[in-house]
Amino acid sequence: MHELGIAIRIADIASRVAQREGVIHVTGINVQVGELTGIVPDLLRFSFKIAAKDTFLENSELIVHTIPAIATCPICELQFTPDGFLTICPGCDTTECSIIKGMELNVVSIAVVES
Amino acid sequence: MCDTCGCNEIGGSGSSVGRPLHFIPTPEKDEQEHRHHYQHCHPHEQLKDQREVMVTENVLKHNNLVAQENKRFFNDRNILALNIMGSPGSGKTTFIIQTIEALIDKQKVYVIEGDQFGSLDTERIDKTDAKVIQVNTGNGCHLDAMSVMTAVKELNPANNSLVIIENVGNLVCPALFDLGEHQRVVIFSVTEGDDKPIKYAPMFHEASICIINKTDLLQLVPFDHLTAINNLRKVNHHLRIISLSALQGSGMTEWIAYLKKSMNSLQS
Ligand SMILES: Nc1nc2c(ncn2[C@@H]2O[C@H](COP(=O)(O)OP(=O)(O)OP(=O)(O)O)[C@@H](O)[C@H]2O)c(=O)[nH]1
Ligand SMILES: [Mg+2]
Ligand SMILES: [Zn+2]
Repeated sequence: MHELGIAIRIADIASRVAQREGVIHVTGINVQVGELTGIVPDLLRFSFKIAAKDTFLENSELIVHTIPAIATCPICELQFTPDGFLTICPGCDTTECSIIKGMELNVVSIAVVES
Repeated sequence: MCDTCGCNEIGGSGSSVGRPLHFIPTPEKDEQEHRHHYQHCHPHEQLKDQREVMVTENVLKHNNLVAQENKRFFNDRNILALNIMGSPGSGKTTFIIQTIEALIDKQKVYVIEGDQFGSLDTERIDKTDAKVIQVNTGNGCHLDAMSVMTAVKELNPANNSLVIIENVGNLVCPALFDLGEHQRVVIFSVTEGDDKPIKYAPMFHEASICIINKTDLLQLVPFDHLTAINNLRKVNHHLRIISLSALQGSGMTEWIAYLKKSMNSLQS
């Protein structure tokens, strides 16, 4: 279950930022998860609970924003929703398309309450 | 549009107080899919004393930075590094041993063996003339750049050598973790079925080479070679595909020739 590894890294980033900001209460952590990363949002939230247990992030909420996949065609420049990693251009049928969105895995922001 | 989640939800309009805050607890415990829209994004009001600290950091940033360091280490020594991935039992270790046997007369080879538990594969590699080191990931289902860095420092590979990393048998998790390798090789065997590239697309999408292994069994299993290749192409049109039998050695020459070419281009 690689969600746990990801959750631990998210907790690390949030702790570091909270420390830098001098706050002790993090109410939430916003993360972007691309649809194509293979990360299951429910498993990530569950894993985060495990990662945050007995730390000051214990009561922080992990808010997962799913980023839909978008592919683009190099020939007709059409942007479209791929079928997973199957990127066949609906305009010209080429298979040489690239994924431009859906691989994100970012901590966007944390919400903090001043102590 | 909502800054943080990029959603186009306009239901929460009229609340433009401050920046979007995604953490406002709402009374409704709505479990439906677009839950975050109602619960966090909109309306964009701020709780007293609550503020949002923008971070915008890739979750894998630390791993990727260490991977870059690994790559620099390899490049400084003219080392070619391979990350071998694939499901349990697809034939990774057999393939690595064949590769070592084909090269070892002229080429120093080092192996990093990633396994959850035990050192069985390391013992197999140890019988060859390659130097091998074991990395146990315990409950972790993939290698990461940090564990590879530690292993590489201990191996201390010579200049102009080949470093082969056998990742943990898994078609899902290792795909996300850059180790600093030059080439990602995914091995899948004909006994796994020709649909695997579609079902485990991220792994095949991130690889540069795909080995279709166990071709000696093609007659015995309902595996359509052409379908497999088409599926691979659909998922990754850059993929270089080589079919072989690691057990019997047929098809290995194409792989070895390709490998030698990669090493030459790195070392010129
Ligand atoms: N018939 C046939 N069997 C093979 C071939 N390659 C490997 N095998 C067999 O498949 C089994 C698994 O091979 P390994 O090399 O241990 O596979 P692996 O991917 O390293 O396995 P893990 O490290 O456990 O994930 C062994 O019994 C091998 O002998 C092949 O080309 N043909
Ligand atoms: Mg093995
Ligand atoms: Zn097109």
